[in-house]
Amino acid sequence: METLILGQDLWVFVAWIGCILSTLLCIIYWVYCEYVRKDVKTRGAKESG
Amino acid sequence: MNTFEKTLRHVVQKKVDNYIIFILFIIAYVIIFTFLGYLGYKRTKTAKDWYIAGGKMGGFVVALSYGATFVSAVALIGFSGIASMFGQSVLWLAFLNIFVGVFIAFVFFGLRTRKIGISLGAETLPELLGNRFKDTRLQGVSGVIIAIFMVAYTTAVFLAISSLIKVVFGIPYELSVVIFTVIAGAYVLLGGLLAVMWAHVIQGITMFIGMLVMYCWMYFKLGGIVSAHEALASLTWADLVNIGFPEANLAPNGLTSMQPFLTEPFMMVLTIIFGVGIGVLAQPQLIQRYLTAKNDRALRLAVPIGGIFILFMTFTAFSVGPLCDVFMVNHGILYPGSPDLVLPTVIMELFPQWFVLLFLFAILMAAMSTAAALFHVAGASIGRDVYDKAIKKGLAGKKSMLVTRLATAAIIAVTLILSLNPPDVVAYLTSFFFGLMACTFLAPYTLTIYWRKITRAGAWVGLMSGFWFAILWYCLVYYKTAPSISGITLSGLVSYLDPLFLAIPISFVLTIIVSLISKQLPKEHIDVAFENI
Repeated sequence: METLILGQDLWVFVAWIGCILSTLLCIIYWVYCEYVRKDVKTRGAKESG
Repeated sequence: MNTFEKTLRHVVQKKVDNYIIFILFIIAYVIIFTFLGYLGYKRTKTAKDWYIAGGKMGGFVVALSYGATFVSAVALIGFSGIASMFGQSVLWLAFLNIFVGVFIAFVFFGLRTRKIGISLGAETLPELLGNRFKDTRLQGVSGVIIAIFMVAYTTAVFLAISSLIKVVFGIPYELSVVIFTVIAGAYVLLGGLLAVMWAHVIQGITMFIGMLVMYCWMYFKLGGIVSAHEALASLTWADLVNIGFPEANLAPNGLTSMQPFLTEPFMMVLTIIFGVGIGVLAQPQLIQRYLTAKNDRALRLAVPIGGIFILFMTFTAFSVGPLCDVFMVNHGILYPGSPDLVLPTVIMELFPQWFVLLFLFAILMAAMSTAAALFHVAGASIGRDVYDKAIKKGLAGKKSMLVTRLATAAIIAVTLILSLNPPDVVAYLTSFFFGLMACTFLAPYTLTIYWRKITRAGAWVGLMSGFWFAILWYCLVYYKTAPSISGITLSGLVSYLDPLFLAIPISFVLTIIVSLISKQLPKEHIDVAFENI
Protein backbone atom coordinates (compact mmCIF):
# COMPACT_ATOMS: atom_id res chain seq x y z
CA MET A 1 0.00 0.00 0.00
CA GLU A 2 1.29 3.41 -0.96
CA THR A 3 2.28 5.79 1.83
CA LEU A 4 -0.12 8.71 2.16
CA ILE A 5 0.78 12.19 3.36
CA LEU A 6 -2.17 13.99 4.97
CA GLY A 7 -4.27 11.24 3.45
CA GLN A 8 -3.03 12.02 -0.08
CA ASP A 9 -0.55 10.28 -2.36
CA LEU A 10 2.72 12.10 -3.11
CA TRP A 11 1.60 13.74 -6.39
CA VAL A 12 -1.67 15.01 -4.99
CA PHE A 13 0.05 16.19 -1.82
CA VAL A 14 2.58 18.12 -3.95
CA ALA A 15 -0.32 19.83 -5.73
CA TRP A 16 -2.04 20.55 -2.40
CA ILE A 17 1.05 22.01 -0.74
CA GLY A 18 1.94 23.70 -4.06
CA CYS A 19 -1.27 25.74 -3.86
CA ILE A 20 -0.37 26.99 -0.41
CA LEU A 21 3.28 27.64 -1.31
CA SER A 22 2.27 29.52 -4.49
CA THR A 23 0.04 31.77 -2.43
CA LEU A 24 2.92 32.35 -0.03
CA LEU A 25 5.14 33.14 -3.02
CA CYS A 26 2.63 35.78 -4.12
CA ILE A 27 2.72 37.34 -0.64
CA ILE A 28 6.52 37.16 -0.37
CA TYR A 29 6.90 38.73 -3.84
CA TRP A 30 4.80 41.71 -2.78
CA VAL A 31 6.62 42.09 0.54
CA TYR A 32 9.96 41.93 -1.32
CA CYS A 33 8.93 44.55 -3.90
CA GLU A 34 7.24 46.81 -1.40
CA TYR A 35 9.74 46.76 1.45
CA VAL A 36 13.00 44.91 0.69
CA ARG A 37 13.75 46.02 -2.88
CA LYS A 38 12.57 49.56 -2.23
CA ASP A 39 14.85 49.68 0.78
CA VAL A 40 17.84 48.46 -1.24
CA LYS A 41 17.08 51.02 -4.00
CA THR A 42 16.72 53.88 -1.53
CA ARG A 43 19.99 52.92 0.19
CA GLY A 44 21.76 52.63 -3.19
CA ALA A 45 20.44 56.03 -4.27
CA LYS A 46 21.58 57.62 -1.00
CA GLU A 47 25.04 56.08 -1.31
CA SER A 48 25.50 57.19 -4.93
CA GLY A 49 23.94 60.60 -4.24
CA MET B 1 -39.46 18.78 -15.10
CA ASN B 2 -37.31 15.63 -15.03
CA THR B 3 -37.00 13.17 -12.15
CA PHE B 4 -33.85 14.77 -10.84
CA GLU B 5 -35.38 18.23 -10.75
CA LYS B 6 -38.41 16.88 -8.90
CA THR B 7 -36.19 15.17 -6.33
CA LEU B 8 -34.02 18.23 -5.89
CA ARG B 9 -37.02 20.55 -5.62
CA HIS B 10 -38.41 18.29 -2.93
CA VAL B 11 -35.11 18.49 -1.04
CA VAL B 12 -34.83 22.20 -1.53
CA GLN B 13 -38.36 22.94 -0.42
CA LYS B 14 -37.43 21.49 2.95
CA LYS B 15 -34.62 24.02 3.20
CA VAL B 16 -35.75 27.06 1.32
CA ASP B 17 -39.33 27.28 2.44
CA ASN B 18 -39.81 30.86 1.43
CA TYR B 19 -38.50 33.19 -1.17
CA ILE B 20 -38.51 36.35 0.87
CA ILE B 21 -34.77 36.39 1.51
CA PHE B 22 -34.06 35.72 -2.13
CA ILE B 23 -36.42 38.45 -3.30
CA LEU B 24 -34.88 40.89 -0.78
CA PHE B 25 -31.49 39.94 -2.09
CA ILE B 26 -32.53 40.60 -5.67
CA ILE B 27 -33.95 43.99 -4.68
CA ALA B 28 -30.78 44.91 -2.77
CA TYR B 29 -28.72 43.66 -5.69
CA VAL B 30 -30.63 45.81 -8.17
CA ILE B 31 -30.35 48.92 -5.96
CA ILE B 32 -26.62 48.52 -5.25
CA PHE B 33 -25.58 47.70 -8.79
CA THR B 34 -27.77 50.36 -10.35
CA PHE B 35 -26.17 52.85 -7.97
CA LEU B 36 -22.71 51.63 -9.01
CA GLY B 37 -23.80 51.96 -12.63
CA TYR B 38 -24.92 55.53 -11.94
CA LEU B 39 -21.62 56.37 -10.19
CA GLY B 40 -19.71 54.87 -13.11
CA TYR B 41 -21.85 56.90 -15.53
CA LYS B 42 -21.07 60.14 -13.69
CA ARG B 43 -17.36 59.43 -13.68
CA THR B 44 -17.05 58.09 -17.21
CA LYS B 45 -15.99 61.17 -19.15
CA THR B 46 -13.59 59.74 -21.72
CA ALA B 47 -13.12 56.61 -23.79
CA LYS B 48 -10.26 55.69 -21.47
CA ASP B 49 -12.68 55.74 -18.51
CA TRP B 50 -15.03 53.42 -20.36
CA TYR B 51 -12.46 50.94 -21.67
CA ILE B 52 -9.91 50.74 -18.85
CA ALA B 53 -11.60 52.55 -15.93
CA GLY B 54 -9.38 55.57 -16.54
CA GLY B 55 -6.28 53.49 -15.76
CA LYS B 56 -6.68 54.64 -12.15
CA MET B 57 -7.55 51.49 -10.24
CA GLY B 58 -5.76 50.41 -7.07
CA GLY B 59 -4.33 46.95 -6.37
CA PHE B 60 -7.26 45.73 -4.27
CA VAL B 61 -9.85 46.51 -6.94
CA VAL B 62 -7.64 45.16 -9.76
CA ALA B 63 -7.06 41.90 -7.84
CA LEU B 64 -10.72 41.30 -6.99
CA SER B 65 -11.85 42.28 -10.47
CA TYR B 66 -9.31 39.92 -12.01
CA GLY B 67 -10.35 37.13 -9.64
CA ALA B 68 -14.10 37.67 -10.05
CA THR B 69 -13.73 37.75 -13.85
CA PHE B 70 -11.51 34.66 -13.83
CA VAL B 71 -13.65 32.53 -11.50
CA SER B 72 -17.11 31.98 -12.91
CA ALA B 73 -19.99 29.88 -11.64
CA VAL B 74 -18.81 27.23 -14.09
CA ALA B 75 -15.43 27.13 -12.34
CA LEU B 76 -16.97 26.76 -8.90
CA ILE B 77 -19.82 24.34 -9.59
CA GLY B 78 -18.63 22.64 -12.77
CA PHE B 79 -15.07 22.05 -11.68
CA SER B 80 -15.98 20.95 -8.16
CA GLY B 81 -18.21 18.40 -9.91
CA ILE B 82 -15.32 17.33 -12.11
CA ALA B 83 -13.18 17.00 -8.96
CA SER B 84 -15.87 14.75 -7.43
CA MET B 85 -15.30 12.37 -10.35
CA PHE B 86 -11.52 12.61 -10.77
CA GLY B 87 -10.62 13.18 -7.12
CA GLN B 88 -8.11 15.61 -5.69
CA SER B 89 -5.65 15.20 -8.57
CA VAL B 90 -7.52 18.17 -10.04
CA LEU B 91 -5.79 20.24 -7.35
CA TRP B 92 -2.98 20.57 -9.90
CA LEU B 93 -5.31 22.94 -11.69
CA ALA B 94 -5.72 25.03 -8.53
CA PHE B 95 -1.92 25.13 -8.28
CA LEU B 96 -1.66 26.40 -11.87
CA ASN B 97 -4.50 28.87 -11.26
CA ILE B 98 -2.48 30.47 -8.48
CA PHE B 99 1.09 30.04 -9.77
CA VAL B 100 0.46 30.69 -13.47
CA GLY B 101 -2.91 32.46 -13.32
CA VAL B 102 -1.83 35.00 -10.71
CA PHE B 103 1.93 34.99 -10.08
CA ILE B 104 3.26 34.45 -13.62
CA ALA B 105 0.35 36.40 -15.12
CA PHE B 106 0.86 39.58 -13.10
CA VAL B 107 4.64 39.49 -12.65
CA PHE B 108 5.72 38.42 -16.14
CA PHE B 109 2.76 39.57 -18.26
CA GLY B 110 0.82 42.22 -16.33
CA LEU B 111 3.62 44.67 -15.59
CA ARG B 112 4.96 44.61 -19.16
CA THR B 113 1.50 44.72 -20.74
CA ARG B 114 0.62 47.85 -18.77
CA LYS B 115 3.89 49.61 -19.67
CA ILE B 116 3.70 48.77 -23.37
CA GLY B 117 -0.03 49.49 -23.38
CA ILE B 118 0.62 53.00 -22.04
CA SER B 119 3.43 53.60 -24.57
CA LEU B 120 1.19 52.54 -27.45
CA GLY B 121 -2.04 54.06 -26.12
CA ALA B 122 -3.72 50.64 -26.16
CA GLU B 123 -6.92 50.01 -24.22
CA THR B 124 -7.78 46.46 -25.31
CA LEU B 125 -5.76 43.36 -26.21
CA PRO B 126 -6.57 43.67 -29.94
CA GLU B 127 -5.53 47.32 -29.77
CA LEU B 128 -2.25 46.35 -28.15
CA LEU B 129 -1.58 44.04 -31.10
CA GLY B 130 -2.92 46.52 -33.66
CA ASN B 131 -0.84 49.44 -32.39
CA ARG B 132 2.28 47.35 -31.86
CA PHE B 133 2.20 46.20 -35.50
CA LYS B 134 0.56 49.32 -36.97
CA ASP B 135 -2.15 47.11 -38.37
CA THR B 136 -5.82 47.95 -37.81
CA ARG B 137 -6.93 44.82 -39.69
CA LEU B 138 -5.13 42.64 -37.15
CA GLN B 139 -6.97 44.54 -34.42
CA GLY B 140 -10.31 44.13 -36.19
CA VAL B 141 -9.91 40.39 -36.80
CA SER B 142 -8.85 39.84 -33.18
CA GLY B 143 -11.89 41.84 -32.05
CA VAL B 144 -14.27 39.74 -34.15
CA ILE B 145 -12.85 36.45 -32.81
CA ILE B 146 -13.14 37.70 -29.22
CA ALA B 147 -16.68 39.07 -29.64
CA ILE B 148 -18.11 35.90 -31.24
CA PHE B 149 -16.70 33.50 -28.70
CA MET B 150 -17.45 35.76 -25.74
CA VAL B 151 -21.14 35.98 -26.62
CA ALA B 152 -21.28 32.17 -26.58
CA TYR B 153 -19.39 31.97 -23.30
CA THR B 154 -21.62 34.59 -21.66
CA THR B 155 -24.68 32.69 -22.85
CA ALA B 156 -23.32 29.58 -21.14
CA VAL B 157 -22.82 31.53 -17.90
CA PHE B 158 -26.48 32.66 -17.86
CA LEU B 159 -27.62 29.21 -18.89
CA ALA B 160 -25.82 27.64 -15.91
CA ILE B 161 -26.99 30.11 -13.30
CA SER B 162 -30.59 30.25 -14.50
CA SER B 163 -30.81 26.46 -14.51
CA LEU B 164 -29.60 26.45 -10.91
CA ILE B 165 -32.09 29.14 -9.87
CA LYS B 166 -34.86 27.17 -11.57
CA VAL B 167 -33.91 24.00 -9.70
CA VAL B 168 -33.49 25.71 -6.33
CA PHE B 169 -36.35 28.22 -6.30
CA GLY B 170 -38.62 26.96 -9.01
CA ILE B 171 -38.38 30.36 -10.70
CA PRO B 172 -38.94 29.84 -14.44
CA TYR B 173 -35.69 29.63 -16.38
CA GLU B 174 -36.75 32.33 -18.85
CA LEU B 175 -37.57 34.79 -16.05
CA SER B 176 -34.18 34.25 -14.39
CA VAL B 177 -32.38 34.75 -17.69
CA VAL B 178 -34.21 38.03 -18.33
CA ILE B 179 -33.69 39.32 -14.75
CA PHE B 180 -29.98 38.58 -14.57
CA THR B 181 -29.14 39.65 -18.12
CA VAL B 182 -30.97 42.94 -17.66
CA ILE B 183 -29.31 43.66 -14.28
CA ALA B 184 -25.78 42.86 -15.50
CA GLY B 185 -26.39 44.59 -18.82
CA ALA B 186 -27.77 47.73 -17.16
CA TYR B 187 -24.79 48.53 -14.99
CA VAL B 188 -22.30 47.66 -17.74
CA LEU B 189 -24.11 49.97 -20.17
CA LEU B 190 -24.45 52.75 -17.63
CA GLY B 191 -21.07 52.76 -15.96
CA GLY B 192 -18.64 50.98 -18.26
CA LEU B 193 -15.62 49.30 -16.71
CA LEU B 194 -15.69 51.54 -13.62
CA ALA B 195 -19.07 50.10 -12.60
CA VAL B 196 -18.02 46.58 -13.58
CA MET B 197 -14.90 46.72 -11.43
CA TRP B 198 -16.59 48.26 -8.38
CA ALA B 199 -19.28 45.60 -8.64
CA HIS B 200 -16.52 42.99 -8.81
CA VAL B 201 -15.31 44.07 -5.37
CA ILE B 202 -18.72 43.36 -3.80
CA GLN B 203 -19.13 40.17 -5.81
CA GLY B 204 -15.60 39.01 -4.96
CA ILE B 205 -16.09 39.54 -1.23
CA THR B 206 -19.39 37.60 -1.30
CA MET B 207 -17.73 34.75 -3.20
CA PHE B 208 -14.81 34.74 -0.76
CA ILE B 209 -17.05 34.52 2.32
CA GLY B 210 -19.20 31.79 0.74
CA MET B 211 -16.25 29.61 -0.21
CA LEU B 212 -14.45 30.18 3.11
CA VAL B 213 -17.48 29.10 5.13
CA MET B 214 -18.01 26.06 2.90
CA TYR B 215 -14.37 24.96 3.16
CA CYS B 216 -14.29 25.27 6.97
CA TRP B 217 -17.70 23.63 7.45
CA MET B 218 -16.92 20.60 5.28
CA TYR B 219 -13.54 19.89 6.86
CA PHE B 220 -14.95 20.53 10.35
CA LYS B 221 -17.78 18.05 9.76
CA LEU B 222 -15.29 15.42 8.60
CA GLY B 223 -13.00 15.90 11.61
CA GLY B 224 -10.24 18.03 10.09
CA ILE B 225 -7.94 17.81 7.11
CA VAL B 226 -6.29 14.45 7.82
CA SER B 227 -9.50 12.62 8.76
CA ALA B 228 -11.34 14.11 5.80
CA HIS B 229 -8.64 13.05 3.36
CA GLU B 230 -8.37 9.60 4.94
CA ALA B 231 -12.13 9.15 4.66
CA LEU B 232 -11.89 10.18 1.02
CA ALA B 233 -8.91 7.86 0.38
CA SER B 234 -10.82 4.92 1.83
CA LEU B 235 -13.75 5.36 -0.58
CA THR B 236 -13.76 2.82 -3.41
CA TRP B 237 -15.33 3.39 -6.79
CA ALA B 238 -17.76 0.59 -5.92
CA ASP B 239 -19.03 2.76 -3.02
CA LEU B 240 -19.71 5.52 -5.52
CA VAL B 241 -21.35 3.21 -8.06
CA ASN B 242 -23.67 2.09 -5.24
CA ILE B 243 -25.02 5.63 -4.94
CA GLY B 244 -25.44 5.98 -8.67
CA PHE B 245 -22.07 7.22 -9.97
CA PRO B 246 -21.21 6.10 -13.54
CA GLU B 247 -19.46 2.73 -13.87
CA ALA B 248 -16.38 4.14 -15.58
CA ASN B 249 -13.77 4.60 -12.88
CA LEU B 250 -12.05 7.96 -13.33
CA ALA B 251 -9.90 7.67 -10.21
CA PRO B 252 -8.48 4.13 -10.40
CA ASN B 253 -5.91 4.78 -7.66
CA GLY B 254 -8.40 6.39 -5.31
CA LEU B 255 -9.81 9.88 -4.87
CA THR B 256 -6.73 11.28 -3.12
CA SER B 257 -4.26 9.80 -5.62
CA MET B 258 -3.05 10.67 -9.09
CA GLN B 259 -4.46 8.66 -12.00
CA PRO B 260 -2.11 5.94 -13.38
CA PHE B 261 0.35 7.51 -15.82
CA LEU B 262 -0.76 7.71 -19.50
CA THR B 263 -4.11 6.03 -18.96
CA GLU B 264 -7.30 7.58 -20.33
CA PRO B 265 -8.31 9.15 -16.97
CA PHE B 266 -4.78 10.55 -16.63
CA MET B 267 -4.98 12.17 -20.07
CA MET B 268 -8.41 13.62 -19.22
CA VAL B 269 -7.05 15.17 -16.02
CA LEU B 270 -3.98 16.44 -17.87
CA THR B 271 -6.10 18.17 -20.49
CA ILE B 272 -8.35 19.75 -17.83
CA ILE B 273 -5.36 20.96 -15.84
CA PHE B 274 -3.36 22.48 -18.69
CA GLY B 275 -6.27 23.61 -20.85
CA VAL B 276 -7.46 26.04 -18.21
CA GLY B 277 -4.22 26.35 -16.21
CA ILE B 278 -2.13 27.72 -19.10
CA GLY B 279 -5.01 29.17 -21.09
CA VAL B 280 -5.54 31.84 -18.46
CA LEU B 281 -2.49 33.78 -19.68
CA ALA B 282 -4.15 34.85 -22.92
CA GLN B 283 -7.72 35.69 -21.91
CA PRO B 284 -8.61 39.16 -23.29
CA GLN B 285 -10.98 39.95 -20.40
CA LEU B 286 -8.18 39.30 -17.89
CA ILE B 287 -5.44 41.07 -19.86
CA GLN B 288 -7.64 44.19 -19.84
CA ARG B 289 -7.39 44.25 -16.02
CA TYR B 290 -3.63 44.94 -16.20
CA LEU B 291 -4.35 48.07 -18.22
CA THR B 292 -6.69 49.42 -15.52
CA ALA B 293 -4.01 49.59 -12.81
CA LYS B 294 -2.95 53.09 -11.79
CA ASN B 295 0.72 52.11 -11.44
CA ASP B 296 3.11 49.16 -11.10
CA ARG B 297 2.68 49.25 -7.35
CA ALA B 298 -1.04 48.53 -7.74
CA LEU B 299 -0.29 45.56 -9.98
CA ARG B 300 2.21 44.22 -7.45
CA LEU B 301 -0.32 44.58 -4.63
CA ALA B 302 -2.79 42.63 -6.77
CA VAL B 303 -0.44 39.62 -6.69
CA PRO B 304 -0.92 38.59 -3.01
CA ILE B 305 -4.60 39.62 -2.93
CA GLY B 306 -5.29 37.74 -6.18
CA GLY B 307 -3.31 34.72 -4.92
CA ILE B 308 -5.29 34.50 -1.69
CA PHE B 309 -8.58 35.05 -3.55
CA ILE B 310 -7.93 32.30 -6.09
CA LEU B 311 -6.72 29.98 -3.29
CA PHE B 312 -10.10 30.32 -1.62
CA MET B 313 -11.94 29.85 -4.90
CA THR B 314 -10.40 27.04 -6.94
CA PHE B 315 -8.39 25.31 -4.19
CA THR B 316 -11.57 25.22 -2.11
CA ALA B 317 -13.76 24.05 -4.99
CA PHE B 318 -11.36 21.26 -5.98
CA SER B 319 -10.85 20.17 -2.34
CA VAL B 320 -14.51 20.06 -1.38
CA GLY B 321 -15.73 18.57 -4.68
CA PRO B 322 -14.31 15.11 -3.83
CA LEU B 323 -15.34 15.52 -0.17
CA CYS B 324 -18.94 15.68 -1.40
CA ASP B 325 -18.50 12.01 -2.34
CA VAL B 326 -17.79 11.17 1.32
CA PHE B 327 -20.89 13.07 2.46
CA MET B 328 -23.02 11.41 -0.21
CA VAL B 329 -21.86 7.90 0.71
CA ASN B 330 -22.12 8.55 4.47
CA HIS B 331 -25.63 10.04 4.21
CA GLY B 332 -26.91 7.80 1.43
CA ILE B 333 -27.45 10.72 -0.93
CA LEU B 334 -27.90 9.54 -4.50
CA TYR B 335 -25.72 10.82 -7.35
CA PRO B 336 -27.75 13.62 -8.95
CA GLY B 337 -27.11 12.53 -12.51
CA SER B 338 -24.59 15.20 -13.46
CA PRO B 339 -21.25 16.26 -11.92
CA ASP B 340 -22.47 19.88 -12.05
CA LEU B 341 -25.13 19.07 -9.47
CA VAL B 342 -22.98 17.19 -6.95
CA LEU B 343 -21.93 20.23 -4.88
CA PRO B 344 -25.38 21.96 -4.94
CA THR B 345 -27.05 18.67 -3.93
CA VAL B 346 -24.76 18.10 -0.94
CA ILE B 347 -25.11 21.72 0.17
CA MET B 348 -28.87 21.66 -0.06
CA GLU B 349 -29.15 18.31 1.72
CA LEU B 350 -26.73 18.94 4.55
CA PHE B 351 -26.17 22.64 5.06
CA PRO B 352 -28.41 25.00 7.06
CA GLN B 353 -30.77 27.26 5.12
CA TRP B 354 -28.73 30.42 5.67
CA PHE B 355 -25.75 28.78 4.01
CA VAL B 356 -27.78 27.47 1.08
CA LEU B 357 -28.72 31.09 0.39
CA LEU B 358 -25.16 32.37 0.96
CA PHE B 359 -23.83 29.72 -1.41
CA LEU B 360 -26.41 30.59 -4.01
CA PHE B 361 -25.58 34.28 -3.72
CA ALA B 362 -21.87 33.48 -4.06
CA ILE B 363 -22.51 31.43 -7.20
CA LEU B 364 -24.80 34.11 -8.57
CA MET B 365 -22.12 36.73 -7.94
CA ALA B 366 -19.52 34.54 -9.66
CA ALA B 367 -21.77 34.23 -12.70
CA MET B 368 -22.75 37.90 -12.84
CA SER B 369 -19.21 39.19 -12.38
CA THR B 370 -17.89 37.07 -15.23
CA ALA B 371 -20.86 37.91 -17.46
CA ALA B 372 -20.52 41.67 -16.87
CA ALA B 373 -16.81 41.56 -17.69
CA LEU B 374 -17.50 39.59 -20.87
CA PHE B 375 -20.24 42.01 -21.95
CA HIS B 376 -17.82 44.87 -21.54
CA VAL B 377 -14.92 43.27 -23.41
CA ALA B 378 -17.13 41.97 -26.23
CA GLY B 379 -18.69 45.45 -26.63
CA ALA B 380 -15.25 47.05 -26.67
CA SER B 381 -14.09 44.55 -29.29
CA ILE B 382 -16.89 45.51 -31.66
CA GLY B 383 -16.99 49.26 -30.93
CA ARG B 384 -13.32 50.04 -30.49
CA ASP B 385 -11.44 47.30 -32.34
CA VAL B 386 -13.74 46.53 -35.26
CA TYR B 387 -15.72 49.74 -35.89
CA ASP B 388 -13.38 52.52 -34.79
CA LYS B 389 -10.00 51.05 -35.73
CA ALA B 390 -10.55 48.44 -38.46
CA ILE B 391 -13.42 50.16 -40.30
CA LYS B 392 -13.00 53.88 -39.54
CA LYS B 393 -9.20 53.70 -39.19
CA GLY B 394 -9.30 55.48 -35.83
CA LEU B 395 -11.27 58.44 -37.17
CA ALA B 396 -14.62 57.68 -35.57
CA GLY B 397 -14.01 60.27 -32.84
CA LYS B 398 -16.88 60.66 -30.35
CA LYS B 399 -18.95 58.23 -32.41
CA SER B 400 -16.62 55.45 -31.24
CA MET B 401 -18.01 55.59 -27.69
CA LEU B 402 -21.58 55.70 -28.92
CA VAL B 403 -20.97 52.72 -31.20
CA THR B 404 -19.30 50.82 -28.34
CA ARG B 405 -22.32 51.41 -26.11
CA LEU B 406 -24.66 50.35 -28.91
CA ALA B 407 -22.49 47.31 -29.63
CA THR B 408 -22.56 46.37 -25.93
CA ALA B 409 -26.36 46.74 -25.93
CA ALA B 410 -26.56 44.57 -29.05
CA ILE B 411 -24.33 41.93 -27.45
CA ILE B 412 -26.51 41.92 -24.33
CA ALA B 413 -29.60 41.49 -26.54
CA VAL B 414 -27.99 38.67 -28.56
CA THR B 415 -26.89 36.95 -25.34
CA LEU B 416 -30.43 37.23 -24.00
CA ILE B 417 -31.93 35.73 -27.17
CA LEU B 418 -29.37 32.91 -27.25
CA SER B 419 -29.84 32.20 -23.54
CA LEU B 420 -33.61 31.93 -23.94
CA ASN B 421 -33.24 29.39 -26.70
CA PRO B 422 -29.64 28.16 -26.70
CA PRO B 423 -28.60 26.49 -29.96
CA ASP B 424 -26.15 23.56 -29.87
CA VAL B 425 -23.42 25.73 -31.29
CA VAL B 426 -23.29 27.65 -27.99
CA ALA B 427 -22.14 24.56 -26.14
CA TYR B 428 -19.37 23.98 -28.70
CA LEU B 429 -18.20 27.58 -28.74
CA THR B 430 -18.15 27.61 -24.94
CA SER B 431 -16.12 24.45 -24.68
CA PHE B 432 -13.67 26.03 -27.12
CA PHE B 433 -13.49 29.40 -25.40
CA PHE B 434 -10.62 29.18 -22.92
CA GLY B 435 -8.42 26.93 -25.04
CA LEU B 436 -9.12 28.79 -28.25
CA MET B 437 -8.23 32.19 -26.79
CA ALA B 438 -4.94 30.72 -25.54
CA CYS B 439 -4.13 29.00 -28.85
CA THR B 440 -4.95 32.17 -30.80
CA PHE B 441 -3.37 34.88 -28.70
CA LEU B 442 -0.73 33.45 -26.36
CA ALA B 443 2.20 33.29 -28.81
CA PRO B 444 1.66 36.63 -30.59
CA TYR B 445 0.80 38.36 -27.30
CA THR B 446 3.82 36.99 -25.43
CA LEU B 447 6.24 37.84 -28.25
CA THR B 448 4.62 41.26 -28.67
CA ILE B 449 5.58 42.25 -25.14
CA TYR B 450 8.90 40.38 -24.96
CA TRP B 451 10.51 40.31 -28.41
CA ARG B 452 11.44 43.43 -30.33
CA LYS B 453 11.95 41.51 -33.59
CA ILE B 454 8.42 40.12 -33.98
CA THR B 455 6.93 41.44 -37.21
CA ARG B 456 3.44 42.14 -38.50
CA ALA B 457 3.55 39.04 -40.72
CA GLY B 458 4.84 36.96 -37.81
CA ALA B 459 1.97 38.10 -35.60
CA TRP B 460 -0.62 37.31 -38.31
CA VAL B 461 0.79 33.83 -38.90
CA GLY B 462 1.02 33.11 -35.17
CA LEU B 463 -2.55 34.25 -34.56
CA MET B 464 -4.09 32.45 -37.53
CA SER B 465 -2.11 29.21 -37.13
CA GLY B 466 -3.10 28.95 -33.46
CA PHE B 467 -6.73 29.77 -34.19
CA TRP B 468 -7.24 27.39 -37.11
CA PHE B 469 -5.21 24.55 -35.62
CA ALA B 470 -7.35 24.72 -32.48
CA ILE B 471 -10.62 24.88 -34.46
CA LEU B 472 -9.65 21.88 -36.61
CA TRP B 473 -8.48 19.91 -33.59
CA TYR B 474 -11.72 20.57 -31.72
CA CYS B 475 -13.76 19.59 -34.80
CA LEU B 476 -11.81 16.54 -35.93
CA VAL B 477 -9.78 15.10 -33.06
CA TYR B 478 -10.66 16.19 -29.52
CA TYR B 479 -12.68 13.50 -27.73
CA LYS B 480 -15.14 15.90 -26.10
CA THR B 481 -16.12 17.85 -29.20
CA ALA B 482 -15.17 15.99 -32.42
CA PRO B 483 -17.77 13.17 -32.17
CA SER B 484 -20.68 15.62 -31.89
CA ILE B 485 -19.37 18.18 -34.40
CA SER B 486 -17.92 16.07 -37.20
CA GLY B 487 -18.95 12.57 -36.14
CA ILE B 488 -15.31 11.52 -35.99
CA THR B 489 -14.25 9.44 -32.99
CA LEU B 490 -10.56 8.76 -32.90
CA SER B 491 -9.14 6.03 -30.75
CA GLY B 492 -5.87 6.42 -28.88
CA LEU B 493 -4.57 8.81 -26.27
CA VAL B 494 -3.92 11.60 -28.78
CA SER B 495 -7.65 12.41 -28.94
CA TYR B 496 -7.55 13.31 -25.23
CA LEU B 497 -4.96 16.02 -25.80
CA ASP B 498 -6.21 19.58 -25.58
CA PRO B 499 -5.22 21.41 -28.80
CA LEU B 500 -3.30 23.87 -26.70
CA PHE B 501 -0.49 21.32 -26.23
CA LEU B 502 0.25 21.50 -29.96
CA ALA B 503 -1.27 24.77 -31.15
CA ILE B 504 0.70 26.99 -28.79
CA PRO B 505 4.15 25.54 -29.66
CA ILE B 506 3.25 25.61 -33.38
CA SER B 507 2.06 29.21 -33.09
CA PHE B 508 5.27 30.23 -31.26
CA VAL B 509 7.55 28.51 -33.80
CA LEU B 510 5.75 29.93 -36.83
CA THR B 511 5.62 33.44 -35.35
CA ILE B 512 9.38 33.36 -34.75
CA ILE B 513 10.29 31.85 -38.15
CA VAL B 514 8.10 34.25 -40.12
CA SER B 515 9.32 37.22 -38.07
CA LEU B 516 12.93 36.31 -38.82
CA ILE B 517 12.35 36.28 -42.60
CA SER B 518 9.83 39.10 -42.99
CA LYS B 519 10.16 42.88 -42.99
CA GLN B 520 10.93 44.43 -39.62
CA LEU B 521 8.93 47.33 -38.22
CA PRO B 522 10.72 50.73 -38.05
CA LYS B 523 13.18 50.87 -35.15
CA GLU B 524 11.70 54.16 -33.89
CA HIS B 525 8.29 52.53 -33.53
CA ILE B 526 9.72 49.62 -31.56
CA ASP B 527 11.63 52.05 -29.35
CA VAL B 528 8.39 53.84 -28.55
CA ALA B 529 6.69 50.56 -27.65
CA PHE B 530 9.48 49.54 -25.27
CA GLU B 531 10.32 53.01 -23.91
CA ASN B 532 8.96 52.23 -20.42
CA ILE B 533 10.50 48.78 -20.11
